[in-house]
Amino acid sequence: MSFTIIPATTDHAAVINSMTHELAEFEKLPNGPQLSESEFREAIAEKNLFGFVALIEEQIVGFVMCYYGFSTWQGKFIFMEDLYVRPAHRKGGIGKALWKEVAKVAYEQNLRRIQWTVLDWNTNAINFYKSIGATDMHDRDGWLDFRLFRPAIAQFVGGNSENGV
Amino acid sequence: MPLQIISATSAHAAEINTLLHELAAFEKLPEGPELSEGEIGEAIANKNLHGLLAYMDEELAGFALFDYSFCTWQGKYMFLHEIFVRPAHRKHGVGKGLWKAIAKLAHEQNLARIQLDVLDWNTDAIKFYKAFGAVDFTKEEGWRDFRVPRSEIAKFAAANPSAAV
Repeated sequence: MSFTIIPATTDHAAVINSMTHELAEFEKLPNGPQLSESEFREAIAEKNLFGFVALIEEQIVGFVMCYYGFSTWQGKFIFMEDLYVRPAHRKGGIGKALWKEVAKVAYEQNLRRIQWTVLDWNTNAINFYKSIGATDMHDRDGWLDFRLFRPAIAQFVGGNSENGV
Repeated sequence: MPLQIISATSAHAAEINTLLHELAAFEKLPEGPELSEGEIGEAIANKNLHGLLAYMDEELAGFALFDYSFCTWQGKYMFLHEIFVRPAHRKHGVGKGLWKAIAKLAHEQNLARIQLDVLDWNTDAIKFYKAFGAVDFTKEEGWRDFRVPRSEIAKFAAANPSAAV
């Protein structure tokens, strides 16, 4: 069945937000997404998030959401946050077509890289990414992703006051 | 005072560039930094990049560089790109001072998290981050950092246009 791909707008926010939950379920991290539909819509409106949706007969069957980051080594880059195609519509080239739109955005702005994370057990996704020329940065250099969450930040800041800033 | 931490301006681009190269050499990735001093200054002036500089007895002792991004799961967060104390100035609380200043900024903006990358062999840094409550997200949930460089983007984006759009 043929599909079309168009830029994501605020009109798509509700459906995309619910699909991030579908993706999080698949990733076995159902409590991951914490944004409300209106926060999501606002993020698209203010261009903090951008992306594309794939449509079949006007129904959204897949999407990709991205944002820009700035690397101290390579300057502006695209962080691809979510790439998802609903199970019933896989193997039809939709994932690759969505990826191509992101690559075009990066190419037009002459960005030095596109970056994302993938779960180490998700071999289908890893194979797809390797087929498009991506490198596993942990394998290449040994990079690990570390995070400090809000409660730990608050706990740390709640300590003694500091000289300087 | 012995330790002083200030917010970076574009006037600090040369000092920042020097420290970036020192840190990359330590990380055994000396070819990593590709930005010119001018690009660094411009990024700070445009607020695409933010920094803190630490001085001990008025000597440049270290820095932290970060930017802000927006995640589909948690909204605005801080990405800490670099945090580095020059070898001669270690064990005097400079690293902790920088970390405290970073955490304070994140706390004041009620950010969902601070995120960073660390090399898996850098056990001193890993201990340092864990002491402040940071979690190894690669280990915890299995996330791996994947990247596609400009050459691969070009191959994909410059190929035949997709049927859609």
